[in-house]
Parts: sequence; C-alpha cells; structure tokens
Amino acid sequence: MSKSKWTLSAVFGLSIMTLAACAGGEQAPLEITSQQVAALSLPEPGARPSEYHSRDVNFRLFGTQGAGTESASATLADTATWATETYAVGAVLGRNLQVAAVREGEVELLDTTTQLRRIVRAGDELRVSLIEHELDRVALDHGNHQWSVKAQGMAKVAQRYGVGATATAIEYAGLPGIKLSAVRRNSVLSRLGLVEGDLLLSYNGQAMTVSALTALATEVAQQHSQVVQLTIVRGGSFMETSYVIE
Amino acid sequence: MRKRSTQLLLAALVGLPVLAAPSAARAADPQKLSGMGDSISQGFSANNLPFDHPDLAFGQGTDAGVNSLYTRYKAKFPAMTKEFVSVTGAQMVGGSNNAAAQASRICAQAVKPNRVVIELGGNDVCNRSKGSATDATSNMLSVTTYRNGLKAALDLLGGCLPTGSQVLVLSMPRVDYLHEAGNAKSVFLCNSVWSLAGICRIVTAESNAGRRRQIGARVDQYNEGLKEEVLAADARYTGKVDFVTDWQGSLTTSPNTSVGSYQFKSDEISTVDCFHPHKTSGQRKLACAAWEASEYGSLSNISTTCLK
Repeated sequence: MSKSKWTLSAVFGLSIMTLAACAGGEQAPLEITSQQVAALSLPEPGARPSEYHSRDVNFRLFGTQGAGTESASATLADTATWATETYAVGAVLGRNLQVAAVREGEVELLDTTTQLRRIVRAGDELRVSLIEHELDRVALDHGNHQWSVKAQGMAKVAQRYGVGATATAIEYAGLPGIKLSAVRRNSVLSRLGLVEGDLLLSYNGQAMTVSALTALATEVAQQHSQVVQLTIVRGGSFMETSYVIE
Repeated sequence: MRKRSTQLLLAALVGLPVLAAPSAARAADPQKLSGMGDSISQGFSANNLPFDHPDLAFGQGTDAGVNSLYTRYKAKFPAMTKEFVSVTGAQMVGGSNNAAAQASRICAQAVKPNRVVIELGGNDVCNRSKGSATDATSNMLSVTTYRNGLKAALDLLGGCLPTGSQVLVLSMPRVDYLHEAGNAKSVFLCNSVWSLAGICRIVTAESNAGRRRQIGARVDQYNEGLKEEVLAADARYTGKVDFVTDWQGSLTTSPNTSVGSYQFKSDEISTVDCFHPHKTSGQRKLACAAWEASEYGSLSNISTTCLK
C-alpha cells in the first residue's frame, strides 16, 4: 500500500471508529499496524505493533493558557475519570496525539498516524483514539492516592529505563527521609508518579533511605500479592500512597 | 435555605399559598454532609504535627475547639451524618483528585448527601512554577480553565444530588500573603521549610511583593469566576440543588468578608510547614465562615463574627 493510500484508509478508519463511539456503540478492537507504529509521534524504541493498543478517550478542554507565547498550554480532562493534565505545545497524549497548536480558548490536536487534525474549544469535548504502549499503563493512578502496578511490566521499565532518580538524605518535620533529584521520564519512579523535589519519608512503614530507592524499584517489579506504601511529601502535603502490585 | 426563605416570605406577603412558589427547591432538612477539598479540608497539621487530622478540620471535624460545619449541623440536626471525599494534595483542576473527580465520588456514595461543602484551589496556584520576568502569572491556569474545572464538578453534583440539597463553594484563600505570614512567624524556620518541601514556591520564593500581588490578583479573578459559576449552576439547577458561595468581593474592596478576602496571620498557620491553618485559629475561622455562608447563617456575619 502506498503511503497516501494508507493515510486515506487510516483516516476513514478513525472516522468510522469515532462515529461508532459517539453513537454509544461498543468499541471494536483496533489493530495497530506497523505503518501506524512508524508514524507514531512518540514510539517506544524497538517495540512491535502487538505491544500497542488503542482506546477511545473523551477529552474535555477546560481551557488554555498563554496562547501565542512560548509557555502556551492546554488543560484537558479525561471525562471517564476526570483525571486532568496541562499540556504544552508539542506534548504528546498517548503515543499518537500531538498538541499541534494552542490558541485562545482552543487547542488543535494532530493524530500523527492519520494526519487528522482536530480542534476543540474550551468547555467542549472531543472523542479520540489514543494509541498507547503496554508500558504506558503499568502503573495506574486510581485517585485518592491508590495505584495499581503491573509487576511484569514494571520489570521491563526497570530494565529499559532504570530507577530514574537519585536522592539526598533529609529530615522534615522531625522525620528522616530523602529528597528526589530530577526524575527521568519513563523510569520506574516516574511511572509511580513521583516528581523532582518529592520528599519520601517512609517505605512500608520504615524510614526511607537513599539506598532503599533501588529496593523500592525492585519491589514494585516483583509480584507476590503485596501492597507497597510510601509517605510522600509534595508541596507540604503528606500523601500516604498505596501501590497494589499485580 | 436563603433562596427558599425569600420565596416563602414573598409568597406570604402577597397571600399566595406556599406551594405556589414556582420551581423552588424544597428545603430539605440537612441529613448528610459531604465535603470536597484538599489538605485544609483534611485538617493537615492543624495541631502542629504532620499528617492529616480530619477531626480538626473546619468541615468534618469533631473537635470542640474547631466547632466545625459538621458539628454545627449536628447540633441542630442530631441525626446528621458525614462522609467526606477530600484528599490531601488535591487541586480544583489538575490531577486525579480534582473537583470533578471528587464530585463523581460523592455521586457514587451509597447514601447521597444533601449538603456538600467545597474547598479547593490553593494547590492550583501553589503547584505552578515561577512565572516569566514580565508576568508573575504566566504559568498559572487561566480563569477559564479554573472555571471549567469547577463547572464540571457542579454539574455532576447538580445531576446526582437529591432535590433540596445545598452545595457551598468556599472561595480560595489569598495564598500570596503566605510569604508575609510566614516571615512574620519566623524568617529562618519558614523559609527553610518552604525551600526543603517546595511549599508554594510561586509565592514563598518570590521576593518581589508586586509580583506576589499579581498572583493574588489572579486568585481574586478565580474567586470572581467561582462566584459566577456558582450563580450559573444555581440557575441551571433551580428547583433541585441550591448552590451558594461565601465570596463577596476581594480583599481590597471587601476585606474579611469571605475566606478569599481574608489575610491569614502568622499565628493562624502551622509551625510545621508555615502553610496550613491551625485548628483553633485558622480552621475555626474557616468553620465559622462556612457556617455563616450556609442557609443557617448570614454572609454579613463573616466579617463581624468569623474573620475579625
């Protein structure tokens, strides 16, 4: 298939999927082709098409910031869970949806696998097909500081991207702990939702130490029906976070 | 309810049967209180010790020294129950515990509340990074974004709460004055803690008072937007759910008339993090303001009784 023919069929395929989803129909499994993988905005290095999957997501644009400036961003909520993130221009949702432009009160999303451009205005919703790699969902935030972690996938993350940060010992509010340095994208700590500057005070009830970071990365990659608990301080708030390892 | 009371009075004055009051929400007695919020709603460090202390929080607390909103309802309606979904670290807009996510958790409760109090917004400001050299607010959420985050939550509540419910949306505090309060408390302690834990660095690391006031002006805009969304939701759900707020104007024009127009003092914030409100000063004042903004209080009492 020539590239132009493939693009056309992919566009129609996406449109049909989108219409079916909007009509409330069940989503049929969408096979990810090697051509689509080649066109991903953010491919996982060396990954096969079978490692990707697609799911329909309904986004609502809450609003935009700084349109026309270098710091322009758009705030999008997934209406299934209301999880909301703010994306800069050039950021990628899943592996295929690029924030192509942010204008006052609207965002333009480009599906790099179809070259289809979609515009959504503040307060409006848009249903899109999001292509994700299996590693993108190894750790899921269910809200209320409750997470689930797929140990097998996290083992791959650890092997490929490592623990993801170093730390220094600190004491905060009379409690010993560590402070994280910059957290590397896609790493184990990044997948667990940790960010630069987080203070980790306890790990499964014990005071957190710099050397325990590696033990933590190992623990979340081994499934033996355990729950890993961290006390994280972010912005002054103490978050008792639980990771159920599956 | 304030709106219902006005309608009843009008009906009585013109000699109409009370039942003829058009599409008014029937005033249901408070039965269950739920709350959405962040660490303030969780009473974080309210006793100058770390961790959440919900018993010391303004909304759900049971401590006599705080005299929470729940305690006040309970005094009038002894069968009153509570079930809060507030989460430390939550934002109005961002993350997985935002206003809409918390509202959906309330909608999923087996027994729906008919009173809800919302206190969110501080983390939406404090989690943003320092703005550009020319605009301290350049990395802050737009007012439209803030409003739409709240609107999504109010629509969920408007749709799922029983008829006769009331939702109280508190304005967010002027966190830009945290810098002044902390430095009045202890320059060394507060600046050390803020730096180590990364507490609200957009204001605590901002040495320029003019730039901090720019951030405060955006907070005022959020609160104006909050009030407009509350009024709009009240109109959309007339006859079903009553939406009210404490916001009556900014610190400049209407000081001490709402949570958002009150400048917290050094002795009202925690000694642990120089940020969260203390139980018998900050949390108690919030509880008083929330009560006066509810159907059994009077907005005019907030400045004279609660936030003197």
